[in-house]
Amino acid sequence: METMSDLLEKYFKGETSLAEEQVLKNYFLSGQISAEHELYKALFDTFEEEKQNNATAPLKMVADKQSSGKHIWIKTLSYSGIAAALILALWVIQPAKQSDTFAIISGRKIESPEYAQKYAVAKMTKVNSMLRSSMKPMRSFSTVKKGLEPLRKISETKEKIEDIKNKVQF
Amino acid sequence: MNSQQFNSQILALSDKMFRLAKSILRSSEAAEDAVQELSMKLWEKRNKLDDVENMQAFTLRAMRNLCLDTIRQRHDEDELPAEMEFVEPNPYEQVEQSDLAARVREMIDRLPELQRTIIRMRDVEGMELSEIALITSLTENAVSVNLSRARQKIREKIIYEQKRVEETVWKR
Repeated sequence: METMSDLLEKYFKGETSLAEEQVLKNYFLSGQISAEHELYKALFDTFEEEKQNNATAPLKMVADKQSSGKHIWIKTLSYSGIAAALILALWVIQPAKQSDTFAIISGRKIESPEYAQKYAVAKMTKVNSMLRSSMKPMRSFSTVKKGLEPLRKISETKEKIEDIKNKVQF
Repeated sequence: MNSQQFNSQILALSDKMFRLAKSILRSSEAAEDAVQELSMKLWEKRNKLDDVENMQAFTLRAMRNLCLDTIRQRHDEDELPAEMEFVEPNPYEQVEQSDLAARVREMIDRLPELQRTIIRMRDVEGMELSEIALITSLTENAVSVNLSRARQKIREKIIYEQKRVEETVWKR
């Protein structure tokens, strides 16, 4: 029958099986170690300690976050659907109270929904065209920026040449 | 592979991934980063993971490769040379390393990367030689040889340490 000393010799030669190594681990954890083996206790203690050395980052969130990201459009569409249904429900209920509903446009009381709607569309169209014309200079600006791109590259190249010069001098 | 399978098969290995990364990179922060990076990469390729037979071996092999790439890329000055031998700690280090377990950990950390990876896979993770061979792209025989060398080196250093401590006691 193999003694613990024999088993340890086999261990250091890399010839032990996992089961035999477990016997050794149990022996060193038992606290009843013979004096001649005492010096190897720290080695087996270290292995046991390292087993407790775990990742601290909340990794489980990676997949969860990603999966919720995947369904974000479905969620958005669902919420939008609910909102649209609510608006539609209000619209359907509204005709009963139509006589109480009115809008004030330029100080005038307007009771016709068609007129109010046409007025709103006309105003929105005007705002849209104003926005378009005010964005034109921005487009020109980006064109100029694109045109200046080669100049930026020239200055980068200059810097690189300077760097190389400095290195050569050293 | 859906998110549930990803959690149970890949993220369940995160502690093993972390320990392997820490052993190679010798830094907890760098190891955490490596685990995050690999998890993200594997998540992006999750549709191709269904064909993998041994997920643990596949993941740990990917982690080892990622860590070795990281070391190559950063040319880390702190990275100890692969074949650096153990030197006797100076008095300051002796105070710092008063805990014998910490000294043993230091001895393992000073082994060449392959040997310290193999000894930890075997003695900390309890892996079969065949699985370590898959992860390290070596033959089982080569793994066995490296494991034996690693254990022998650690044994020599422990005996050396023991003698040094005994001599110090006698001198007093």
